[in-house]
Amino acid sequence: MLRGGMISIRELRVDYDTVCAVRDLTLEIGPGQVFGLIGPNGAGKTSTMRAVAGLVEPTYGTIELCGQDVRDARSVFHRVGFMPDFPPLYDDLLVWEFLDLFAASYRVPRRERPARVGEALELVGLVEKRQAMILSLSRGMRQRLMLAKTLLPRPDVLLLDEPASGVDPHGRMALRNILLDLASQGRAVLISSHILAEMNEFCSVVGVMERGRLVVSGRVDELAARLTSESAVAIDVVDGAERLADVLASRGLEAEAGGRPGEYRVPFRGTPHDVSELLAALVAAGVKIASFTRMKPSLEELFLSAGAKELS
Amino acid sequence: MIGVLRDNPILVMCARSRLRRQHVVPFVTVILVLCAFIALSVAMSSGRPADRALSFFRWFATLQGAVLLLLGTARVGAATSQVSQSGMLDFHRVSPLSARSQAVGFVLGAPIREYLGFAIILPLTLVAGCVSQVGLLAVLGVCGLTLLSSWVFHTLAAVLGLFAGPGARRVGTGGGVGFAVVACLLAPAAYFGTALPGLLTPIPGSSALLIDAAGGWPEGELPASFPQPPTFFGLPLPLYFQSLIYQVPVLAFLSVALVRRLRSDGVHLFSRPVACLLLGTVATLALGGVIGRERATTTQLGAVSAVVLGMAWLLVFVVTPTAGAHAGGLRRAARRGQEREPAMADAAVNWRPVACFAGIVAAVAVGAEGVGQGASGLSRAASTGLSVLWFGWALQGYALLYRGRAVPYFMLLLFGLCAVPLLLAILLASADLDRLANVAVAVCPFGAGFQPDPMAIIVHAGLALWFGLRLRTDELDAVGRCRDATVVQTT
Repeated sequence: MLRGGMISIRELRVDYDTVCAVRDLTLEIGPGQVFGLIGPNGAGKTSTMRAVAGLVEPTYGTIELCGQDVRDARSVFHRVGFMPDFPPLYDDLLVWEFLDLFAASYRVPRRERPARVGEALELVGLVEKRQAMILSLSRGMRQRLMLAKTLLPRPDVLLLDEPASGVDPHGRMALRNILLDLASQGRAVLISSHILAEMNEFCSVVGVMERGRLVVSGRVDELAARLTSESAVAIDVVDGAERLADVLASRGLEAEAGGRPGEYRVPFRGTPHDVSELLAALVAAGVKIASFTRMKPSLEELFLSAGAKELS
Repeated sequence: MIGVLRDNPILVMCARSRLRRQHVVPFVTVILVLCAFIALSVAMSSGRPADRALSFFRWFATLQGAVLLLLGTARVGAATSQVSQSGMLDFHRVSPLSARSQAVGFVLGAPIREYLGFAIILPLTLVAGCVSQVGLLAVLGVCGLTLLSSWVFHTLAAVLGLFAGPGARRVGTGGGVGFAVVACLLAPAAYFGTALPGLLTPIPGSSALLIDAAGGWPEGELPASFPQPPTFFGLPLPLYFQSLIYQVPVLAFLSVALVRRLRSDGVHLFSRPVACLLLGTVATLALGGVIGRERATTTQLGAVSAVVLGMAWLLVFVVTPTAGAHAGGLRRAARRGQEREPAMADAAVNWRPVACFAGIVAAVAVGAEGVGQGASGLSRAASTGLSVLWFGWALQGYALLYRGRAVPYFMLLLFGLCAVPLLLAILLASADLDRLANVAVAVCPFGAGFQPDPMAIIVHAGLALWFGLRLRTDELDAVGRCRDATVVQTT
């Protein structure tokens, strides 16, 4: 459990009629942490996010942002930036007018607003679109504008629901840099996504949600190490397939044929030392190997399978 | 108020988006053309200059009212339904901007172009009013009443707009305008029937103000059959002030609803105590139009009962939690170590507010009947009160039992309970069995306020008992299910 939370969720439950969207979720996100909530659609990520933003009333449980209960202290929202998964915009406003609207909403002093708007636009690379109508922006630009709006009040807590959907690689890189920069300044960021590659780029800590429960959480590298013990080895054999089978059988392993002749996949649990021993044994048995690769399952497969396993 | 108006971001945003040159120029052109058309047609008419000035004034004031009240109402409804549907409202909810500021921003900002139209016509109205015998004070009074009345309907449209689901934007746009048009059409009812809802429009108050400013009705022009102007609890207050008495509390309650809805989608429009207070206020205002009136007719008494009964039924929908909300309340209560939520909490079964509504409706029936000639006040009170009881408890029971399908099933029940007695009444009436036909009409829920009958009381009491017992069983089932779920979870 992470301590010293900027975002502190305790025993959160969210129900929609008969559906329990979030079930007894407890979570703490400290300063400087970028926490990724991941899981399949319907896992409860967005409900969690909306409850943290105060948009959904929890059935029970407490949510504290910067030490204040979201239900009791509206003033805490001065310190929160929220970006939903389908960011809506006022199409009939100019880009700067939209940001100015939220600068005023967040009580940025009138004299500071133009500079603050310019700063936010520069951060997301939309300076040249300052005078453009929002209606004319592409989807990626709209997403960046929404990010600019979210960053405008310089929030201590950021809640980002699918922030990179629809953003081009350049935009994603910029987003990653922005988030890392914010984390280095001690801000807490909660991101939800079902695209795991995104999470790998952005997050220091991740939690897997499935059917409303947080099934696994921890630092990305720790989780990866824990879960890659169930990886496989890909072997490209030039000659000696029979000997390969013998060596594997002597170790209780079995090769699965790959797509091409001579290509094999061997499900393998073990440490890096075990892998090197296997390679040495194959070479000693005279198997001619063109390539030998420790396959790491995609982060997506790992996290989702981890979630499913915990539930079962 | 000044705090929420000063540097209000929503107001500024509305001004920016709605006052762009490409939108303003055509709008102003249309307004000016209409004004020119009015000026030309009145100038070509015959009559004394003062009379023609009065005609100018009436037309310009009407145009101002149409622009602000009707177009403005449509605009506010469209704006709130748009922010609600697009999800933009969530951003405002998450921002530190208070719901009160948002409400003021949308109600005053969304129709900003219509305010511009109003302001463009204002000099013409002022000149016409001052040249005629109306006078500056009366002109300002009419404008003020138009503004207040517009705020009532704008706020109503804003509330309706927030209810608009995906693809139902017309609810916000058309709903408010529909109410405004119906209220305007019912404005004469301020003289003939109940003072509500006619006095919510500026028509009766402005007309009375103009007549007073012109020195009253000319001798001999007022027909003998013309009904007396409405009084307020027997006080012959000017209609202008009566309009204010009706409009200010209605605006206040609508504002409460709007602020609550802007704060969260999940809350009821009114808390239960406020809903009871609202019904009490509506009852007081409706009774104010007939109590102390010299010649209160049966139609007027029936209209008062119908207005309050209708309002009670509407409020029953407001205070009735869904099965999900009720179950959530039970879970919350279980966490606190209680069996259920307090009786006046939003998620509790609607026993107490419905009983409160029934009491108010019955009291209105007694109060209204007290000023009439008949002695059937208690009968009408029992009939209407019991009808509210079974209506409310049946709806709650259906909500717990049928969940998402509760409202259609409930409507089907109401249809059956209305159609069968009415059909029976028609058949009985055609067989010259008028007494029995009256009983059949009285059994119909919508006949409760109009046709009190001892037999109807028995039927309504039976329905109240039946639905009350059913609801009690459903509530106990829900409590039991929640308790079981909690036990399973903790073990």
